[in-house]
Amino acid sequence: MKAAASIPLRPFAAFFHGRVDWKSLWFWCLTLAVALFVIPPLGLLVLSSFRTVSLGELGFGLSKLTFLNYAEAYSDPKALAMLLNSFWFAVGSMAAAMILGGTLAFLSERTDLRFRGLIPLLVMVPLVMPSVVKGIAWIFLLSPRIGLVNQPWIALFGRPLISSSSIPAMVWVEGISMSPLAFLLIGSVIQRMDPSLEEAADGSGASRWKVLCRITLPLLTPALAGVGLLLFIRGIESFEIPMLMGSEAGIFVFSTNIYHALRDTSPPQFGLGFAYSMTLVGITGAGLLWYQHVLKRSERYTVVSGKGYRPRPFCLGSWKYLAWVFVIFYGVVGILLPFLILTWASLLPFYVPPSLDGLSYVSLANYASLLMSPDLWDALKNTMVLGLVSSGATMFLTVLASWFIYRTNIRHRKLLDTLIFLPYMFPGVILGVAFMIMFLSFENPVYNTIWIIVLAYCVNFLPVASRFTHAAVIQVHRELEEAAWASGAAFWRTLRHIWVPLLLPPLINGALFLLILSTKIMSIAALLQGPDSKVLSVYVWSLWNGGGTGPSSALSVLMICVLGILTLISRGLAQKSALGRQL
Amino acid sequence: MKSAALTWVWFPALLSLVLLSASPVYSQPLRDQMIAKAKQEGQVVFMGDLADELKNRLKGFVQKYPFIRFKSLEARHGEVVNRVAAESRVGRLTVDVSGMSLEDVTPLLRLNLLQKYEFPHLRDFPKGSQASSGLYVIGQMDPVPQGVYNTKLVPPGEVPQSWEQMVDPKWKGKSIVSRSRNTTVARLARLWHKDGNMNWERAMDYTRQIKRNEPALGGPGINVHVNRVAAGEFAFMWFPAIGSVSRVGVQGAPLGFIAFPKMFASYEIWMIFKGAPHPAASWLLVDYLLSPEGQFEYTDTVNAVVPMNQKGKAGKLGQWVIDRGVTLEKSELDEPDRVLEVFTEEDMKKSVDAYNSILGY
Repeated sequence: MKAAASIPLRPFAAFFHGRVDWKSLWFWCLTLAVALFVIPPLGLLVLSSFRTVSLGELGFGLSKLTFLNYAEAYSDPKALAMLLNSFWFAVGSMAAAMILGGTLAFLSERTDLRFRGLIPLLVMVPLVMPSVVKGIAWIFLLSPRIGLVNQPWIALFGRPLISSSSIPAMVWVEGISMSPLAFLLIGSVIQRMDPSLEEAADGSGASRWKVLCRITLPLLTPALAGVGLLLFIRGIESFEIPMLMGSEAGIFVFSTNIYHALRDTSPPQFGLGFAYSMTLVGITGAGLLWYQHVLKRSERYTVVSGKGYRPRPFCLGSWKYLAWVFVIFYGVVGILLPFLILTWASLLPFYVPPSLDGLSYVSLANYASLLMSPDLWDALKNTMVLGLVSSGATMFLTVLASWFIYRTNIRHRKLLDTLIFLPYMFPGVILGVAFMIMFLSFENPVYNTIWIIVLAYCVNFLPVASRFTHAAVIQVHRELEEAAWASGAAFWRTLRHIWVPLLLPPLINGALFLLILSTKIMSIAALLQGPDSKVLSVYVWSLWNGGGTGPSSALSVLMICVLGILTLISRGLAQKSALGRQL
Repeated sequence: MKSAALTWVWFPALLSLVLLSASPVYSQPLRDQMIAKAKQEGQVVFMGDLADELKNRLKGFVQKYPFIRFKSLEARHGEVVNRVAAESRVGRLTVDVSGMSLEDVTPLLRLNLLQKYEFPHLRDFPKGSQASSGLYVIGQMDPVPQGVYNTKLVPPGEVPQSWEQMVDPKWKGKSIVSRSRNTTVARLARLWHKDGNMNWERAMDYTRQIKRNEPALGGPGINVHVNRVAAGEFAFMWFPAIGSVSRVGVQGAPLGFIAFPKMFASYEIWMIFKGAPHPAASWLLVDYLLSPEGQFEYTDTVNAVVPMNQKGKAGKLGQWVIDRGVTLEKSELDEPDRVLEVFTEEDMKKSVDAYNSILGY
């Protein structure tokens, strides 16, 4: 009977066996799904940059084509200065983030530094702070007149140490902001590294410095290249810090003009904003081509193999004191000071520099009104749904994509990689506008709900998520899955029993990063929000708009505490998973 | 005798009719109609700046109409306009009501996105205070003082009392401007008009004088810069929003206004969109905002503007501003219909370009 019941299926399966390349079919399904959501925003961007669109006319039409937007954007005498400012700001903040985040990742993952387990918690704090609040916190720290950092210098030397309106200050703040991303990406690669090469070099008498420079860093090259590219592009697109800090010093970047054209003028100047955005497309496209070139020979960088491995802590010796100075400097200057200023501001009805006079204004009123507000709980509920679903779904999609790109020889697989990276080319506000137009064009249950925001965030997160999964997949040698196939395991079984356990730490890191990011990105949610789908990032903005520094700082402090706890839990899960595999 | 008797009959009857039509009793059937419909609709969606504040603080409305769920979407006016235009094009409007400055309404008028309604409370507004189209209602006026200053950094005797005093070299490097105030040049041009024509020359010249005093070029937004003045980072800020100032001022921030005649002002309007999904609930909301109690509550807890209902009075935020010298008497503002003729989209663009290029944005 059992045999009889299975008979109708066997001819079906047998019919397709050998006729259908399932791997290719799945690949093309995934590619088409990604293209469906990625191509329209990019198309809208390119098309609209050549149109003079008025309100109500934004869409995929071909009317009113013109070069006027480009003429206006690039005939501005300040355009070259803006381009150079954008470039140097991005390079500087990329370098700062990689030095800070990379060093902390190395100390956390590969050294014997005591209490290194606290470093990941420390690094998450700048990630959690909403950008507008972070910017104002640093202004209050570095203001040449009232800045907390500058006050002792003014008292001693009669002038400030550093001004908030300077390129070094901007680079420092943006570098700190991006250091968590650098930490997570580089950290997940370092976690997977096979130390046998380092041990061999060590055994041959090479000094620790030589091992670091000749073995470790070259092995990290593809990951570092990817991280550097990602950070550079984020630096180019960043607008909050240049907007708050740079404009006062006459330091203008393209991203502030994009923001201004698309969000701050009424009516929005779409054509002009899109023309500016095309600069980002060009820069990102060039960066992507370079990155692909670097990754051409990915097998050279395989470091996790089928042989059992255990990361060996790098013995710091007397270098540990320098390491401690570095960590303490990062922690105190980069994290603690802005967090303290934020906490101070959260206790006040309006900002007063820390002083005895200011103590008279201190109260918990901001926290009380916040916790009693139903808006907070609604926003929290929506944000949890948004964060969990978008981060989980995106990581799942990018794991699949990474496998197809680096583990198959399907033709045109690089197309999928390109599609996944495309959302990095355009600002989130364009993604939001495109999704609004797309989902208004047909009847659907998604528009005006949290789910349209989830979809938009998934698309927005694809490039970042793929950096986590690409770097992780590259480092896992083929022999592990080949062994699984040789033993008769099918694709999904191999994925579940080989890939997922090996990739779990970087997946958790990536998902956590995306979850935290989902609480901060405002531009997309502001455009797509419905009456019942308010999220925390928009709520912070509305508090800022209506109440100033106090209420928005109070919410930021609460977010830091909650997300800090989440980080601890997820790091614990990731480490437990890694430990379980070792046993 | 007969004519005298008729006089004593028809004249009181006519007088009674006039009085009756002016009384609230006459408007009640309209309000009752709207209430009945709003009970079926069950909610109203407001989108705009301070939407959340409005929802959370307009408790009188919530108590009066407990069957209406007040939902808010916080957004800048540009986003409101964009969203309404996009959704209206396909007949899937989410938003019912919004509020903005009158100068920002032009795109909505051009696209025919507003619905005309009658509001009985407008009888208590000054004659000529409403636009003839009736497509939006002017609820309050928003004077823009020349500046807000930190009272600990600027002694009373040194507060500027004229345009020339504001650009005195002693303020060099001690003030801040906001990028959001990029229609300032047009407003100054109108304030200093020559025979009714915009005086662009004088406005741009004054803007250059501001630039010579090297103000800090603050980014977009008003709140952040007001907070920085309150914190003592700058002596004063140019052209602040009185709402932003009052919300920290009532809590004790050391702020005062630089407010001398004449200052420019704008009208704050409310509008219900054509095709709004909840028109009756929307009507009740706007009706409440125009009522004396609504105007008081709005200026008491949400925003410091000057209520225009002559039976209304300013609330706490509004009174704070008035006590510091910002009054309508010091403002100059065209009639509502004239405002949109004067401030065309081309003028606004010219102002934005001039502001950015002169100040260095």
